[in-house]
Amino acid sequence: MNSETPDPLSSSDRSHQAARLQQFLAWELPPLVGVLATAVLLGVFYEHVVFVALTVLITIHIVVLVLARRWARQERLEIATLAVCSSLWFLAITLAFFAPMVWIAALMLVIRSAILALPYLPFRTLRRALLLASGGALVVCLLSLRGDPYGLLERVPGQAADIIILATTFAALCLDLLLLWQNSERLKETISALKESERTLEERIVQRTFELALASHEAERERLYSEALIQNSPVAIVATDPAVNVVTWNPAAERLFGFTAAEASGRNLDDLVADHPTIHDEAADYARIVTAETPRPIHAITQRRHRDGTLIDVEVSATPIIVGGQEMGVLAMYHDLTEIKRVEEALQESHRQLADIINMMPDAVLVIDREGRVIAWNRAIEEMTGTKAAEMLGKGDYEYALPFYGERRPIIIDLVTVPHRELEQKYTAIRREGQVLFGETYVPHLKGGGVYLLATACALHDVRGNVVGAIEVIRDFTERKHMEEALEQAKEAAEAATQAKSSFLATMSHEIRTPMNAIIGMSGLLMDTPLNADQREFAETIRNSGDALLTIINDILDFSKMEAGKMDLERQPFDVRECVESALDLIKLKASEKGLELACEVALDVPPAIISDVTRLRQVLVNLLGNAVKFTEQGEVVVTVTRDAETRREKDRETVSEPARPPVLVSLHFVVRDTGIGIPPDRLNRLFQAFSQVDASTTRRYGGTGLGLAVSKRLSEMMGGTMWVESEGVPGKGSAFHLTIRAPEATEVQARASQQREAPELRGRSVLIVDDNATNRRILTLQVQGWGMRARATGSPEEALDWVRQGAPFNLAILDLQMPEMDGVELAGALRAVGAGSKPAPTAFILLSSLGGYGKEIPADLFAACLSKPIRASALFDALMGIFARSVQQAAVPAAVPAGPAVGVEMAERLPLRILIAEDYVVNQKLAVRLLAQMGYRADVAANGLEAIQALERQPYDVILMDVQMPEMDGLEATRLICARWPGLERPRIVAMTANAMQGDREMCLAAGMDDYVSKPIRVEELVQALARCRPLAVGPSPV
Amino acid sequence: MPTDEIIDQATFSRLLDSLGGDADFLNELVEAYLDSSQALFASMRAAIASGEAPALQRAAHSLKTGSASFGALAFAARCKELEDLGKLAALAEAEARCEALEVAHADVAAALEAGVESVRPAA
Repeated sequence: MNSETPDPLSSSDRSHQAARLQQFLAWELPPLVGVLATAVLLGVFYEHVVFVALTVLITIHIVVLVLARRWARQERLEIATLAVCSSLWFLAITLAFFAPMVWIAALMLVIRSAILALPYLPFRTLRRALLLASGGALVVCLLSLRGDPYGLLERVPGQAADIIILATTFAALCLDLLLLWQNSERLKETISALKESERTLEERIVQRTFELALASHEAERERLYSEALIQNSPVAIVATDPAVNVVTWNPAAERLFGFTAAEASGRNLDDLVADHPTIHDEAADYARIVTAETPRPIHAITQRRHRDGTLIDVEVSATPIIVGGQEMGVLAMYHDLTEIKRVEEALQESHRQLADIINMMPDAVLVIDREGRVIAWNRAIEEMTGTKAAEMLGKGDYEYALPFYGERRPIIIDLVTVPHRELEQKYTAIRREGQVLFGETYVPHLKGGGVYLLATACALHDVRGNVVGAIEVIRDFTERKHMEEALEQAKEAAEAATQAKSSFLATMSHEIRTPMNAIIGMSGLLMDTPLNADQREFAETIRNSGDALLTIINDILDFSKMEAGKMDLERQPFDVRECVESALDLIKLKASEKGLELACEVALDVPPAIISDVTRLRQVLVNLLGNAVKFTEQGEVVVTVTRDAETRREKDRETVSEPARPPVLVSLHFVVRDTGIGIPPDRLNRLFQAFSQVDASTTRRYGGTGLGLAVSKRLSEMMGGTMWVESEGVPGKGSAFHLTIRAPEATEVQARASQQREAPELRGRSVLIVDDNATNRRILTLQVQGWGMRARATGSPEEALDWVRQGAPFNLAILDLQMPEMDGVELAGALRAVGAGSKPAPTAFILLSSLGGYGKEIPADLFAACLSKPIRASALFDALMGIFARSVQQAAVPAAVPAGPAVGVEMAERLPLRILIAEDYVVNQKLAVRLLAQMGYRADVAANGLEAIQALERQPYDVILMDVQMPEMDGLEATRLICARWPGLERPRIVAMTANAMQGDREMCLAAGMDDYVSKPIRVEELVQALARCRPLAVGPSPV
Repeated sequence: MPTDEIIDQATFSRLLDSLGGDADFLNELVEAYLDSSQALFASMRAAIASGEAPALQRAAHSLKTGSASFGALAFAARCKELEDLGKLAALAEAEARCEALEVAHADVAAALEAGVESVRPAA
């Protein structure tokens, strides 16, 4: 019952009720004990069953009440009340059985139970039923009052029992009423409490009203806030009414669609932003969906129309607005995707471009992702492998190796993440540069043939540096490989061709020079025979042409050698003056034929000897002199040699500080000056180019290839100097060719006597110099002054005669033969005539002449010496010494210089020489030994170069006659070794014996270090001449 | 130059002159020449067979100078050709020349011996 219905009593009520019940029971029990005692007494007194029964009833009642009191104490009110009520009812009914009077008491008891139970009966009906039952009980009581159907009352003695019972019951009823009054007091309290609560309620209503007012203000603020959110939202927000007409249009929407809020307001949303054929239907669909009976929200990426008609990419979200169950319209939000779209397109574009680039790359490209699946396979690799990208893309598990190797296997692209060390150890064919791997391979079967592939691979990384894949680029370099092979073959062929060319050149030079020498030699011999004028002219032409041709051939050969870098310079000590003089010797014939004066002036500080290539220096000088003579019609050609100031200073420093230092490098400056046609200044620079002359007409007029100067310039550069030309281009003023060389000064060559600064025999002697050529006069004057002589020079014979007539003392006169007024012979005669008088006159005469016929008889006894121009200092010195030494000693040795070499044993007596013959051929050995024996020499024989060196090690020799071609070690090689082992004065003179008596061979011999040469077959005269040039060595070479 | 003669008489007599007219020594020299010639031909053949061009060149050179000394100028010229072939390493061509030369050498030998006989005093 309790569980089903709410408890009608509050907990405070319950405790209160419990207290009331206990009070009721406390009051009830003592009278009941009294009633019980009375009933017991009555029973004892009357011995009537009624009293016994009454006693039992009252006892039961008392027990129930005691129990109820306990329950009440435990606040088990309901059961307590029920127990009391039930007991009361039971008592009332039992009483009703006994007597009519007791009905009233029973009625009162029932009323009491009702009063007790009422507050606890939860149900109205139950309460009513209880009241009805009480009423029914009352009616039953009233009816029973009419008689005593059972006669019980008659058996009760007197009215006493009735009175006791009535009294007791009445008293109990009174008590109950008292309790009831008390309850009404409580009711009053309850009413007042109600009034109190009503007042409290009113207060609370006032409070609530105030709170409501406050809340409405808050709501306004919230509305404004929401409004601001909408207005400031970067997203275009549009709200419409149910007919999709615009109500709200925020600034972002204004910006997105171009309509202002005022323009948009009230207009149909689709008319505003979906008025375009491509999107109109779609927008209408959306509108239907979102405004349907059961509306659904829309979310779509689509396009909307801008005011200017363009379509904008947008993301649309549309939801119905429902307030209180009623649809109020649509809320639409537009996200502008233009920028995102643009970035996306740019990204796609760049992806596409990248794909295109990879695809269009000429090299085969393969890209894989982290899992080894192919993500790019370009056109070149399609072409290379014949496998289409469609078949390959997305495939993993080394599928990409199949087209190359026919099997699934890792290739270089799979090695990009292999650590460097492991890579080095396991894959020696792969090399790594930074992050990139390189590998070459030969694939035997690809596209139907073998190909050479060069593969490059590297890892691909994301922005965080993680490996996301790898790329490999493969290049087919088969063609290059073949080209390299072809190139290698071509190179070999070219080298062979060069070899052949060199060989050809060597052979040709030899083959051309051989007949050339014959032509030149024979034409020379021919001119020595009696000829008529025509024949002589023909012979001369042959001779000159031959000379010219030989020069050209030599130039070409030299030039080829230089071009090939095969020109080697000799480094041997030689006499500078002798070199210049010998060069002059070679051209003096031509000069004299043209009537040109040749002169040479070597400065005194020029060292006596330098270490360089005498042959080449002479060649250059001859070339310059030859040109000078060729281009000069009249006048003179002068060579001057000076030492450059700079190197002189160097030398001074050397000598002061460190005399033991190696030989000083001297810089010599040669100038060949002529008085010819000159060279126009604008042509000067072309002069030294190969095959270039001043101009074409020059070539026609003077001939020549123009190679000579190019060769000369190169040679001068090889000798550490250079060459240039100065000319004003004025005919008659000629040009000056300058040549410089740098070379170490040679110390081991003894200075020639002519280079000595002073000679005691010549000191103080007085010399008269008569020459119409000023240069010659100057040179002669300087030369003789250098030897300590006093000189007086004039160009006029008359003046010279005057000087002598006036008594000027001269020991000697040096006279030029060809002078305009009076020639040298006449002048000598005149001077002697003066001397025949009392006047002192020169006692000795030296005649100077140009080479060639004198044109007149020269009295043999008139001149102590005849010297040909250009004057060689050594020849002049010898002549002077001959005159003055003889005059000093008086006991002069008769000048019995044999005209030809003496052949006989006395030669060895005169010139004792230790001779070694190095020759392998027995016939030549025998012949040489025999010929030498006839001269009185006992020669030793060595069969080859090696034996020659061994012989030299055993004992010293003065001369070696060296065959060039020998087995084991040829003459050239042997000569080089000998030069290296026995340097300077210890070295025997080496005379080559060669059958190839051509200039080239001779140069080769000299280049190897040989001093002289004789031709084979050996001829006595040649041998004698060669030996005559030898001198016994001062010291024998010490055996090594 | 007289090439129709096997031995150039001028050269031959100049050689004899230079030897002071010592015909005995000339004879000795000729014999040495002829002996060595056999050896030279042998080495030339060997050089051709073994492809040693320098050896061929050297031997031909010796034969040339020796022959020229006695005035066998035409023969010497042919030796020179062989020498040049050796220089150019044209051994196939050289082989034929060498054989021809050996045949020609017999004439030279005969002519030289005759020459020596003619100048030796009849003893």
